[in-house]
Amino acid sequence: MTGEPTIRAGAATDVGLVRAANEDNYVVTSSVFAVADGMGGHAAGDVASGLAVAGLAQLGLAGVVRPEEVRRHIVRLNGDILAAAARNPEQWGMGTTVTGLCLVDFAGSPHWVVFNVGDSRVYRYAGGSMEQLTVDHSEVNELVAAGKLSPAEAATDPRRNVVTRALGSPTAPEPDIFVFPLAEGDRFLVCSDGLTGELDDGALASVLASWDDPRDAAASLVRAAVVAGGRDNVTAVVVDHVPAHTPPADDETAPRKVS
Amino acid sequence: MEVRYRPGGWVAVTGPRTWLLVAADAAAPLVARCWELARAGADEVELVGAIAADGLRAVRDFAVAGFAEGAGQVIVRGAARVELTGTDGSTRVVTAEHVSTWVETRLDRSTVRLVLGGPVTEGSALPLDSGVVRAGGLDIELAQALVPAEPAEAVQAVAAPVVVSPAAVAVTVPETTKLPVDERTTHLPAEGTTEVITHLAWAVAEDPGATRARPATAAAPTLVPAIRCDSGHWNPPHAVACRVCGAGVPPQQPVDIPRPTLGALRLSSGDLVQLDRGVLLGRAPDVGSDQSVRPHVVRLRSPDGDISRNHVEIRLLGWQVFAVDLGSRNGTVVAPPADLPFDLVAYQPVEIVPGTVVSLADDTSFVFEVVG
Ligand SMILES: [Zn+2]
Repeated sequence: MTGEPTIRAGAATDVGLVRAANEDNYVVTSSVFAVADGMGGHAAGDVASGLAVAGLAQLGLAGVVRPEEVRRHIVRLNGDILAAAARNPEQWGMGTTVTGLCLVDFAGSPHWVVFNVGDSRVYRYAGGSMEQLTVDHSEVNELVAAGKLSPAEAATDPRRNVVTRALGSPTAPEPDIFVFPLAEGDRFLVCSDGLTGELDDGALASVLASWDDPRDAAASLVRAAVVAGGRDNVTAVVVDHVPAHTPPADDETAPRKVS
Repeated sequence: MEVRYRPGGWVAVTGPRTWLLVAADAAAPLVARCWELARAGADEVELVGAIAADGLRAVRDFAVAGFAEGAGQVIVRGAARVELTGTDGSTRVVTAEHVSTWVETRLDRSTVRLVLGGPVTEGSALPLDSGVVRAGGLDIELAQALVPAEPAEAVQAVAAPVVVSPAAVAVTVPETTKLPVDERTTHLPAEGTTEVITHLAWAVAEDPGATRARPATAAAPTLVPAIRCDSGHWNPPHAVACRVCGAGVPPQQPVDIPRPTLGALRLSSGDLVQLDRGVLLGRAPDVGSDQSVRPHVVRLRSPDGDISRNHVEIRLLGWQVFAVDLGSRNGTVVAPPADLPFDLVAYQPVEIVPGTVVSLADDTSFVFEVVG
């Protein structure tokens, strides 16, 4: 092991050209990188997504995070948002997506946990290729999965903004959670659907390829989405695992020693 | 010569011999400046000069093309791209990835078509002879430029709705158009701290189109037929005793449900992996990107290197859990709860039941557990 991984992140958000308020929120700490896209009237969406990111920011404050804590934490946030709504009738029915990455210690080495509730997304960009890591919890995605809608139709379907899982639901939604090890050089994009609604994967990849600094990449993505129409709030968090200068060792599997 | 535009969020400016697609507010002074130049017949170099007049930081994304008398060039910056189609039907994409200034490519008579694109082009192409519109792309057929030009009026006749002045376009842009982003962008660098422009030399893209994008996969949830114990735990249709609490499961008609978590792997390090999806374990595991549902990927410490890079995989099939040795150098041992341990044969899946211990190395193993 070569010590602590070097993680650099940048984030940007914009209200867009159509919405009156920005109900997206994001969080960037040393171990949590997440986006929350709120929904609900009277600015309640901003309250819900704000509660979500404030809660996520506490992950890692107490030290090393384990994947199961991420799951428990997200389920607990659902209760927190419900309780806040119960205290304030104007916020009744508010909800939020929550999607991102958390740095955890797992099996003795650093791993990423990807988590998702709703239709915000995490992409991994490595070696010039883009891969969407999360699966949207959206009505159109379920229709696509069921073969009732083509991906092209889904992009313009009026139901594309309907999420099937969100925090703030009466029954706690099951978050999608999975782990994988850190790899130097990986770049991740965490974003709200205001970004992916305006830019296709190829456009996202081309912007991610164009900027070295994650802050520039995030700002450029958000700007491009606003320029492309900005029909929704737009948020992007770009996370880089910066390569150390140590060459990789440890290439061969040694035959087991006979003891 | 035939020019069409696709609606979108950038601004297109077109004149008799130059075409511009730029990420800018339609009301920006530079749009008016470019329009004055373009309609007066300025060439592409004059247009770029007008764009750069405010400093290159002001306009990061644009594509300019100019073509007259069998020669011209395209200039691309930032997120813009230009696709060139040759007389032989071949296409080539010019982008300015990793270039802080811009990329320039010469045009000659071998190019018949140009497509200037921003990040998004949507809808069908509409004819545009000359003017300023909000657009995501411009299609320019150069083939007709090689023959004597037709009177411009012929094209203009069908293009009436889209030939508009910059002032008219500005009205359609909401007041809220504000770039860059709002005050929440607390992590943004100070303007100009990272974008270093040391020269304005023309550069040529060496390997355009190196970026590949993989379309997002819509993964259908796995459905399984299931029955319930009296405590509500889901079980396979033929279960007699509940897999979670051990209570008897009354006979009933199965229903299809999204597959519940089938249990967990408890690693010898104490860590827990939920079996809501498959698991790949190894010293340096590498998962292919062709799986629609990504497995958990666990890197195991192996100071002696006796665990293989990709060592063992846990696969879920319906209600069943399988262990597969991935051709590991030192093998995988499976110890069922009430049976003798045995070695896995490489790449042959073996079903494991709760309580089974799977060993990858002397000090590295995991147990398949089912917990409530
Ligand atoms: Zn039971």
